[in-house]
Amino acid sequence: MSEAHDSKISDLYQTSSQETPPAHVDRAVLSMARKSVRRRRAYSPFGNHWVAGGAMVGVVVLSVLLILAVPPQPDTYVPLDDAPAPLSDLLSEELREHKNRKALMSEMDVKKDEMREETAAPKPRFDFYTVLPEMEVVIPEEEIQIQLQQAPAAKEFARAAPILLEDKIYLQTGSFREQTHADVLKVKLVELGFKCEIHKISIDDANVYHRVRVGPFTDYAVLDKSRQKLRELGYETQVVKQRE
Amino acid sequence: MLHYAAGDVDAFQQLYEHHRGGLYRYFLRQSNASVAEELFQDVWAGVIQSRKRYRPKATFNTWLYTLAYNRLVDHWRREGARPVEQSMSDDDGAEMVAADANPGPQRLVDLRDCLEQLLQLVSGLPDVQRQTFLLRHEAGMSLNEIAEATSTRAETAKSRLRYAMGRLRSAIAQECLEGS
Repeated sequence: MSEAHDSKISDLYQTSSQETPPAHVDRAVLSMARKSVRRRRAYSPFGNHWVAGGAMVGVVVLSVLLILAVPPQPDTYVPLDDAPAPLSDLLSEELREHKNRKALMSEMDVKKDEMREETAAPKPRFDFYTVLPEMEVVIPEEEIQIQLQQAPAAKEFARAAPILLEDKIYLQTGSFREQTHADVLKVKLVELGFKCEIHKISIDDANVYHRVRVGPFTDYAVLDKSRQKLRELGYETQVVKQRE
Repeated sequence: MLHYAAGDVDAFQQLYEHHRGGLYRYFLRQSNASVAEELFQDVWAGVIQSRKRYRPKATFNTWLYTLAYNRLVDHWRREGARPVEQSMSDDDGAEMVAADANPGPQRLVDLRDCLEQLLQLVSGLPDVQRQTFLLRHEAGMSLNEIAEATSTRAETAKSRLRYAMGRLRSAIAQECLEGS
């Protein structure tokens, strides 16, 4: 009898259990999967050769076209039969050039002052950054390993020869709807000695997530070390690249 | 999964389509909707990130729900609500039949009411029993697979499932178990 009831319960549960993830979640996951494959293709050796070869051919062709297109400069052509200019003309010419140089220098000084003022202006400080979801890419594990293996010496002597990163790379340790939850994790990580940021991400203008990220990192060896340390502390992370 | 690891995005889409509902409900039955969404996305991000490490020694299903189980336990630990492992002696099933969700004299003749009550009862199961029940019913896993995903023995998984079913059986309104 109990088996029959168990079977009835199972059937009832299967009937009732119909919920599916919201459409924006589906889109986010599938987009992540597509981006990840695109990135991996970019790193395939075959693809790299074609890209590098194509770029080199492009540079050579452009250089030849530029050389052919640019006419000879007038001041490079000096007829042999031209009479030398009188000394007074040369002196006045020299004086004019001196005046021009002086005017140019004073103009440059003004611009430098303006730039100093701009850089001296206080920069706004944010507690979190709002970023676009399409600007973030999850970096696959194998890609990190490739980067680390490509220069084993740099891994051992990271200080002497770091494998520098061109983009902002973070270790994502959590993602929350509630900012207060993100704040709690951030505080914990900061107390553990990690530099931490909260990135606010809006999907479809309706669903906001607060991603807690350690970083940014400037070299893979340091990133790998921090990742291991976080793992030892019980935090599983994802390596995420934030495009500018 | 091996096709996706080789760069076939369509293969991922098929995998995702097949598992999305079950995995989402696995989290939904054990948390609220926003947490379920976060955990669901995290697990798929984990699949994407570590697809090259995937080895077909276990089924994809087992691997996916192992990730899901670990992520959920990690979430509970961070939230400070780690489930307490229950002692699973043979007598536990008898004690656990007292169900708070039993409506008593209320008649549940409507199928919708039965469904609603069952979902409440599933949510109210002890954590390890609920895990086992959901892995069985949402992921369609065998007892051996459940044991592998939850890092336990097959006998333990079997006991947990038995206790879960016993608790549901005793707590649900009899009207729901009668009729065709």
